[in-house]
Amino acid sequence: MKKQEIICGLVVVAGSAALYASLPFIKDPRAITFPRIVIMSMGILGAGLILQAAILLFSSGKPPHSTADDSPAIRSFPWKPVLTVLTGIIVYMVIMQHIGFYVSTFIYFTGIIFSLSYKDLNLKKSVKTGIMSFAFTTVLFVLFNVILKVQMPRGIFF
Amino acid sequence: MTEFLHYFPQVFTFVNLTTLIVGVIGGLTLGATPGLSPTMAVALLVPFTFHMDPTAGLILLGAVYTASVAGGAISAILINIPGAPANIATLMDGFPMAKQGKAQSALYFCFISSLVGGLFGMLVMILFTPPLAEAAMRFGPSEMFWIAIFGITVMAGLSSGSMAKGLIGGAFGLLISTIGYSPVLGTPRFIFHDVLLGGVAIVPALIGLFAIPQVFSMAENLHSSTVDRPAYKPEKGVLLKTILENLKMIKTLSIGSVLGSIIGIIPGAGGQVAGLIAYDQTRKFSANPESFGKGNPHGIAAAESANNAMVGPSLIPLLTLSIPGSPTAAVLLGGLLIHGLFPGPDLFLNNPDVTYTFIGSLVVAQFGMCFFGIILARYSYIVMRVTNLYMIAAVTILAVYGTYSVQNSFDDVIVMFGLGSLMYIGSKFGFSPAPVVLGIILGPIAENNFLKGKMIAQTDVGMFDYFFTGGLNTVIILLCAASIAYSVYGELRDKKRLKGSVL
Repeated sequence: MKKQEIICGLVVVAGSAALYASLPFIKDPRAITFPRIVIMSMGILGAGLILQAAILLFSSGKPPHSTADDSPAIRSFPWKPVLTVLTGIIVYMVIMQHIGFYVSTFIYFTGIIFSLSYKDLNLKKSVKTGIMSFAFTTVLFVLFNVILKVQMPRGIFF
Repeated sequence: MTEFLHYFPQVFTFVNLTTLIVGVIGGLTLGATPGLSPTMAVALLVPFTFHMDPTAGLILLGAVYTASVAGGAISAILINIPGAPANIATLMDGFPMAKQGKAQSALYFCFISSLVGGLFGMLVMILFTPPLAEAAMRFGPSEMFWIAIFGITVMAGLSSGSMAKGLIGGAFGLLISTIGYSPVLGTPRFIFHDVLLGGVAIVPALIGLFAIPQVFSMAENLHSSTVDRPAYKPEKGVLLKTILENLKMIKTLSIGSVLGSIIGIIPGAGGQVAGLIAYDQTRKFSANPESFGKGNPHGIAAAESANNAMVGPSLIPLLTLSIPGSPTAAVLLGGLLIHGLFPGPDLFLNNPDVTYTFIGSLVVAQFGMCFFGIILARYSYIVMRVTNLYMIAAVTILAVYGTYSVQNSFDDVIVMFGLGSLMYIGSKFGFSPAPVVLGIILGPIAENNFLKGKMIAQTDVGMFDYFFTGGLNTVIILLCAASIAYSVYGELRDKKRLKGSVL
């Protein structure tokens, strides 16, 4: 945990330093007064986080490598479904610009359920998922396109 | 009070009443759906209000806020998963009651107690909001700047385990609010990519920060919906019996309502604290404290009256000072801003029709929540069957719709997803979205007032004297310091307790 806090603090300090370094690129110096105060505060807080974790680490008397209990958590983390969802969302966003909101929504809905539950998949569940996806997309189409008349990304279909 | 009564009939126009009913039913359903917190529900609904007039839009958001807090008790009672943090105390006795075959009775206790607490909270809100708004009229740029900082310090302390992380989150939010063109000088700032040309709008940020981490979190716990589900069979005659029993709980309902209102008025405290404190106090005052946690209906009545009593008062600091009383109120603040309504004393002077109709709608929403809650309780088991798989797909799609529909901009969708993914990583390191959101919302208020104050100070008494002296400034700065000190004290106390329990 303490190791995590130190990493966190380092990222905040490094990020603040990088943003502070970018301030001279802003043309009007009057526009940087407020961001400069915020960046400095963030950097100080990041440094405070490191200091707090370091004090706790040394006062506990344990060597730094004793915090390696983070690794089992990383190993047991369910990377597969999280990465599947991440990939699914990216693909959804990319295809939406080409084939439109409604068709891509149907594909995303069906695809994400299939890819996350492929182990339990059978004909009945596949049909159920297909029907659910179609019903959900139809409801969205009626609500957004017909009732609310909201313009959504259009593609080669509609 | 006179103005409130003058505008109250406007709640009953066809459009407003229909919107209110839709909001209440939607709020109950969304609140009951595991994985959809009231904050996320309101955030996802904000874009729907674009196409409505401000009054109807705010009525929808207010009704969803009110009903989703009570709706969260349904999943707490039926499947032992609180629909919202405010319902944590409810499951302590609600789920044991459901396991004893009294789920229907537990749900009725929940909605009736919510109505009592909710009405008490609304009365507090109606009585205290106008005088506080009048007091806020005396605030100048320096006081408004400090109020914005106070809001962030309060939310920072209460939303995450670490005060430092909460404040870093708040500062990060303030920094995000500066992306784009400076509102005062028109200078471009931190536009590292074309996607950021228009800055970061409130709605994409709200949706991204609350919905996307939840989507990933649901993916992590893909099969958690397979939980112990007690049998639930609605029976006739239970309602009348429950109402009579509930009305006898005057002491419990009073403790819950009063504590919930007091806690609600404290910015940032929220329903979770209200429910738990009321539950604890009711148990302490009970003649039969050992029965709590084993299915005592007094536990449900205390928790639910408190967390609904919190709703009205949590809007007092929001409407008068722009300080949200809870994360959901922070999202509601975003809803007000996108309709061009700026909370503060001017809200009551410039838009009394919208403001008082909104407050009136919250009173009616309490009755709606109880009425529809009792009806929906019979069918709530259907909502419980929704698995994380479907929720992942539905929430992502609604998040994309909600973001895109704001400005018909795909850049907003990219910003929403980028911020949400970053927040998910941040949440793994103990960061919470509420301070970031508040930073984004309060950023322009803080910066504009800071720059105005700077200009006044340079021609008047100087920066230090203008920002750090004067009665009101001193009081707000002391409140900021007290808020930070209290949170740090709480952190140290928790660490000490944890250390003690390990040893």
